[in-house]
Amino acid sequence: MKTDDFINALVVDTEVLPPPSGRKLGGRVALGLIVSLVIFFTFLGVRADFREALADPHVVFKFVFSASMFGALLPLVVLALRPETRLAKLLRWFAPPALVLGCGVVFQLLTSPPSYWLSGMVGRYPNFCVTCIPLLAAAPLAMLLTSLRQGATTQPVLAGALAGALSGSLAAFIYALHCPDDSALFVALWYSLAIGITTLAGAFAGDRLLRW
Amino acid sequence: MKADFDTQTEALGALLLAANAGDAAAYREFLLRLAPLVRGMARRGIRRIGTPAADLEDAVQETLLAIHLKRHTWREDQPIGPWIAAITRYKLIDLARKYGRRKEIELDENFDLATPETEEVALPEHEMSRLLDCVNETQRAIVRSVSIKGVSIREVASLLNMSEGAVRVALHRALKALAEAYRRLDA
Repeated sequence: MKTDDFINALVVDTEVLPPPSGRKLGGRVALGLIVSLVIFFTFLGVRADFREALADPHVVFKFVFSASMFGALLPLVVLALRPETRLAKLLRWFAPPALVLGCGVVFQLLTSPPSYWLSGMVGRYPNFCVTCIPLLAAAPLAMLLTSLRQGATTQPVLAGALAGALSGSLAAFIYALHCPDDSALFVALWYSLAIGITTLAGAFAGDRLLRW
Repeated sequence: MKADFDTQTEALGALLLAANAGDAAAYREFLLRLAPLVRGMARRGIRRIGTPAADLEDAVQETLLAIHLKRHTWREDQPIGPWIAAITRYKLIDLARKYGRRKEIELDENFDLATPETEEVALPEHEMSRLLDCVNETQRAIVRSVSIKGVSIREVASLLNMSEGAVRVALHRALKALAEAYRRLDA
């Protein structure tokens, strides 16, 4: 078929989809968040001593870390909607949450005796943490992938991985409402591992779902 | 040169803006001006990844199809050149993958104005025709009628005894299926 002929077919296909936007993506994430919160309150619930625990900076750190991760990654995922975005050039945005994590770890080491370091890092419920965070991330990740499919990312694996990391950080924030392990070393090890799992899941899904 | 480039992409941007608002004549003009630019880029890309030159026109058509299906992702406040270049590069990577070449294709972020090619390379049987075998009979008939024969949607509708809406939906599905088939095609 000649290209000029082919153009005839494109011209008569007049269906133009609405442009993707950060706002729409945000709306979808909020929907995913609601699903995760329902799961959270049905099966986990907020820790009993939540009010008192908030006075402990180590507890607050869990929220600060996951929120900083979420805040750093959300703009990247929105940018991934567009084909001309080079995501690899933007990975320096991982630096702020990494810095927050580093500060938290140093703070933990300074505020607790060395004898507590290992037990704090292993914590009481590491398996539970690494299971719950990916489960709580599933709905937001699905919503993010839906949004990204309506965009046109030219880096499907990387975009999927970022969506996975973003939903993982959102899930980590929710899980922190329940999590009784308060050492920053626990967060550095198990939260990171859990977010790593959601990142891998996102990369895998991106490879399958985000090509066009 | 730079000024030429800016004028040219600005004109493309204005055309696509009008096209996305429903101006079919502007859209045709956009695609007709776009094809030589894409062809020039695709030629350089194909040379770099070392696939047969016979793939050129298929790569051009696949890129036009991809741009068509994703034309809503261009933001009018952004320059259109990098947007077009990114999609062209993406489709060339598909082509490279088909031949098992995974190396990163280094293409300029913008067009090189020295290389637009208006001449289409005539080949006996293009892949696009082969791909048409992947869509169902009605879809194939619609695509052939509106492209090669240049028949209007209304005429196709009465010819196939379908509503115009149904023809439009079938055409859109056929184009999406073609893009999908090309992506999955092996060399």
